[in-house]
Amino acid sequence: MRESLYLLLAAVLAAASAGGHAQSGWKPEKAIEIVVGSGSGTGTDRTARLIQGIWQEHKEILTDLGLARAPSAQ
Amino acid sequence: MRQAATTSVGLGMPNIPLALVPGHVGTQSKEELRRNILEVTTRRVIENLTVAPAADVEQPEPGARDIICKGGFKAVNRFFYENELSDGLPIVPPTREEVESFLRFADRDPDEVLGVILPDSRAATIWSIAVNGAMAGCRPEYMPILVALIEAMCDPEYGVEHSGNTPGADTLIILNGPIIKQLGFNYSQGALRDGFMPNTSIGRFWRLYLRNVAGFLPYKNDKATFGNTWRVVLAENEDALKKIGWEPNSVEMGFAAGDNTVTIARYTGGGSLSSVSGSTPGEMLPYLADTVQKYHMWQLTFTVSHGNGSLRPLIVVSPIIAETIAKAGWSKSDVKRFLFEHARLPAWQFERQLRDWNIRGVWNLEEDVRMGRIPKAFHESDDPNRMVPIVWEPEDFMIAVSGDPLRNNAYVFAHNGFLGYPVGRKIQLPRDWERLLGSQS
Repeated sequence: MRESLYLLLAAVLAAASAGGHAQSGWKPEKAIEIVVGSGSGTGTDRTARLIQGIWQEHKEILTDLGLARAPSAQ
Repeated sequence: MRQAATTSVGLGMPNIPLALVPGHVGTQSKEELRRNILEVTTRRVIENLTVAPAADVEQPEPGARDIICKGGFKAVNRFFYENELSDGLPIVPPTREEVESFLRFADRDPDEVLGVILPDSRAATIWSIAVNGAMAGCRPEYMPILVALIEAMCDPEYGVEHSGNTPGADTLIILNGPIIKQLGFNYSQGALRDGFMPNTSIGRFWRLYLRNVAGFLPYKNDKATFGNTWRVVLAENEDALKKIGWEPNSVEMGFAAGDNTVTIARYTGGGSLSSVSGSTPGEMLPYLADTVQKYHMWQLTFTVSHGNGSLRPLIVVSPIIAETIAKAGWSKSDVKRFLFEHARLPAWQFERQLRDWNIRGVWNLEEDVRMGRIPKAFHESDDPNRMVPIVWEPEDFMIAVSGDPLRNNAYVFAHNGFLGYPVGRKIQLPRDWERLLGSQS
């Protein structure tokens, strides 16, 4: 179990598509998955859910935004 | 960020882009978190997604047999320290001759790979065991123990990859078998104190191997908030065990009595209990049970949820405590049963520890029992004051006997769950062990 937020956010990059954002012009067109490298209930898992919630709440990402667990964390 | 950068190299992705959540998520208000994630993290994630990552730069390392430094004792030590290859104490320079003297006690191909160890993904070889054993100040005849330790380190059940987590737990090595006396381990007064070459140097070897081969270096992959120095090897008092008819730890771990074995597990802390008084189990054990429970606080996270019942508290009792309990006809199993039934806390305290204090999200013992995720003992009624255990079953407790034979003190080790689960290995002695041993003295 890694508590590192850095690793989590490195993992965030795993399955996103190119696009634009409100300020940057990035607008993803495909579904995005946040890949969590540790088990349910860990600090990393909680942080991933937190980021997912904030992005959804603020409509940062309008496509589907899912959460997946890395095979090593199953 | 340095940990992420270092870890990514070990995982074979040295150029993976990183984004940071400023501060710690556990100490910020919702508003602070929202602002940090939206203004800092999200922007960086998008940059990372839309800009090509930097070129992958390979960082070659010297070969196993390369001479990396030539010079006298001080110069070699300066080089090793400056290159993060030592723990801050002088090391014995691992010359080829020194390493060869260890290999004679192995009967194994020096290049044999016992496993690949995270986070640096380096191969654990007989050769690197000999090198680090020499550096730690071990004697060559300790080599069979060192090999067994690294075999245990490579066991996935142990979970060596977690050795750099923030609570900073350290491994305790328990040694069993005739090798305790053969090699002169201390198993009596001061059993956990430095000052005895085999106990101390093998404990140091473990830490050096974690640093130099696994890659757990402070400010990089070792994120211990505090940490502490390595633990010396705990050798059991097998004479005392034999006298009272209790099985040694090695038998608890599935080996035959009389086998030479090592057991490893990581502990986040714990402490000693002074003056466990009484002349019967009924008088002595409530104090032990109460202390075992009190030393396991946030560690309850390893009992439920992702911990999945992996908490294995260790209680080391002095011989006189063990003898007094055994005199009443109690076995180790009886003691474990008592601890299971009495090392308990009110359900509301259990849930508060994890739900409110450690902020582990939703925590509900009733729901976990209903979903079949934890044993029924955790919800036998709806009474918030019902007493619940700290482990799943009596055999989750581990008991060892060591220390000053005539002091009625004990030591509780608070376990780190699946981030250092107990794993044992039999020590394989070389074919001509006795002759080799004789040649050393």
